Amino acid sequence: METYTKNEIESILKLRRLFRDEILKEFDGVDVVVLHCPWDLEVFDGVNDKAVVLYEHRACRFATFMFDEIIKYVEPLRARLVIRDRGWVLQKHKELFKKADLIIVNSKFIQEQMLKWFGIETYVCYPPIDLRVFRPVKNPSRDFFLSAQRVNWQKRIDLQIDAFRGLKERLIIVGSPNEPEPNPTLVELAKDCPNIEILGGVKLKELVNLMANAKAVIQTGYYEDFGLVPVQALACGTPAIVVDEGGFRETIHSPKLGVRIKKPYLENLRKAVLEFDISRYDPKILREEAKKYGFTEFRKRFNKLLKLAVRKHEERYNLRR
Amino acid sequence: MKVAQFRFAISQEGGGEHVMYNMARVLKASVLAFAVTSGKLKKKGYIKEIASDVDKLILTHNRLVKV
Repeated sequence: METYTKNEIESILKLRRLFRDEILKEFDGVDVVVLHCPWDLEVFDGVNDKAVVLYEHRACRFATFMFDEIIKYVEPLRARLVIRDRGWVLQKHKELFKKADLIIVNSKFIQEQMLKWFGIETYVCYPPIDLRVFRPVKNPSRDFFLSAQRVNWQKRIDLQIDAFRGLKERLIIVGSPNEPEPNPTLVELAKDCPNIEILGGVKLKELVNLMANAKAVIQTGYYEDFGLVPVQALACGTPAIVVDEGGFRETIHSPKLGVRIKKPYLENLRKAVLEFDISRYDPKILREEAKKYGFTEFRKRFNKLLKLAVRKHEERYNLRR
Repeated sequence: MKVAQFRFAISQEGGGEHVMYNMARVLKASVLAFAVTSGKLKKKGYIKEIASDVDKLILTHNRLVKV
């Protein structure tokens, strides 16, 4: 996770201003621009012939809800600068966010953070999953647990390994597609655990196959802003065991969909795995729940929000005149 | 003013680029992927109909940001 100081953000914004005309040229004739990086709002500031929508995933997490965790991993000299500049960074983001006509967020969790830290109203539109790709298989084996994510400290994969250490239950840990080899740190951590298999990234088809055959997927990331994996698992008819934080609270909102574990996570994850009973879950209910995140729902909601953005832009423009 | 045309601007520092690509693909939106941190503007141009292979797109984007 990257952190940013005042100087770094000022340089980034300066570059945005430097290339403003060149970038704007690419948007000639476009009615609505959809951005995902708040710094790009600098480019479209004061452009009156197009509505500007920001799809915000993070709510500036490095300076807001993840700050206390992230700062522990920052080198001490840099940490001093990051702490010194935190107030400026928050204020700058608040100014940037106000330049958007409409901000869409990927979860209610991020919506709450945007309100809490920046006082900004936003609209939720969940990212979509492909229900044709993520789907159940016939006669799933249900003889292992699956964990899939990018390998970094924020995902707390070490916690999963510790929880499964010494158990009979199998755990398969899959990395991200751009890291084909098993992560050496995880291999080392799990070297005394014959029940844990560490894989590198796998192809989408294989990932779906693993998801659909698993007893449950396990996710332990710090304050996930949304968390796609549990939703993909639901689409495959597989429940999820997740930490009771961030976006997982709204995706795994019912005991019918999986288990939300509370702190202390190590003991409770172990307990959840040992007590897990797949027969308590109905794959049809899980699949039905996942339909909330399908393409059709996404298109409907997103297009509605684009129209709202245009209305808001027009109101703003008229007010300015 | 109507939503006749909309375009995604995906830049390297935003995070969640593959999610944005996926959303643009679902919406059949055009995309300008760009990076400005190297002191130059690098454009990947428009991806009119984004390919269904999202993994490939991540690689495409990585190539873009590594320039």
